[in-house]
Amino acid sequence: MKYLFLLILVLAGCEGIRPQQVSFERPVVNVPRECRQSNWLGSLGQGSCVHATMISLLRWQGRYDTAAQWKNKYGNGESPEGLVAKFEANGTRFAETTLGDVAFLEWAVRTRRGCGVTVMGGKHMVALVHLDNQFAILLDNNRVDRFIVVPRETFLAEWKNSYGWAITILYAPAAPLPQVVF
Amino acid sequence: MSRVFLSLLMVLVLTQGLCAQTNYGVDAQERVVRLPEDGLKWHLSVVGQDTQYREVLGWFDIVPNLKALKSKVLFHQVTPSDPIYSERYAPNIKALPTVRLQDERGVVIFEAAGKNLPMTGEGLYAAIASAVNGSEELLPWRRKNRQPAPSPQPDPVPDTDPAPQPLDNGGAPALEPVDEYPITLIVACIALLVGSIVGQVQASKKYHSGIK
Repeated sequence: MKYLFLLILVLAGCEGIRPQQVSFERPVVNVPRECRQSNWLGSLGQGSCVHATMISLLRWQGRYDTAAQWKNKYGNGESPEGLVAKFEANGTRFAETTLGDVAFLEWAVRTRRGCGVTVMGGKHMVALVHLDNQFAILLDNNRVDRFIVVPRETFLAEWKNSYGWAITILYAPAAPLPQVVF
Repeated sequence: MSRVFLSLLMVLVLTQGLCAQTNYGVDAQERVVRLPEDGLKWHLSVVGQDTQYREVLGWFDIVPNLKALKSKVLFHQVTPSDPIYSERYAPNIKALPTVRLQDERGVVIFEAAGKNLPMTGEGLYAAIASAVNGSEELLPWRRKNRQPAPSPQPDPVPDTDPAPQPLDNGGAPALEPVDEYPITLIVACIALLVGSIVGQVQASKKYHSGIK
């Protein structure tokens, strides 16, 4: 009788075959602490949030030399035109939107590049490092010790009311952390 | 004539002013029209710092198959002095140098480190190809449950690599899907059932003989 019970158990176990599941990193653009650039005061006494954000993304995408040069060369406040001119002068590949196009943000996160996004009515730039159906995760260069999690719609409302500018560079993002299949 | 000229000049100046205003702050034109969709690309990391590391890196520029593979994945050269190393590699690297191939989700498809690295580029490529094909053989249902491997697509940015395809040699072989109830399991269950019946009969005999 006990064998029959065991047999039923074995057969019941067959129903438990599940498709492959893999956990993903969160945030997707999981910038290591050492790669995060804090904001600094430039020669004009202005914050350098745009440059700090770009430097963090340059390091995430393996451009350590460019990041070091950028830190030494640039600083202070920055406009979309000014940053584009600097990218073009340095031959840095980039992509941007100034139209508040959410598809751009989703692309930047989907390809694990992340992007700089304007907040605070356009006065500040932070890095968008994750965006899913529920949440956005930000890396603020004024507090690089932690990620900031906000509801997706809250972030989008903030961004769209801050000129809707988002910009990133186009290189290979860091490899994902090894994930376990279960 | 001079009035006409002046009028034209005025129109030109006004138009220039409007354009300048439009370009200030918010630019109404996208900088990149088509963005590279390379989020499904696989990642190949070569990690190390010594002469063996440099030799392995060189294989990816010399050995044709490895060179082709390099152009189809997101290729990472990592040294322990890189800022990214301590958090993302040091905790999970067994030895240096390491060659690690991961799919787009981060699952490690192939990894060889230290003395386990083949001594030639051709050997390394064969090992990678075997692992890629083997991973599909071991997990044949992956092909059912996963999205199909993306085929190369035209890319608007010349330097950006084409969309991911694991290997040039055709990747995983086309295998028949495995049944959800493997035949060996069914045979084992039948054997178990027969065994239990025989056991019951023998126990019953012993029980009756005991009464005698």
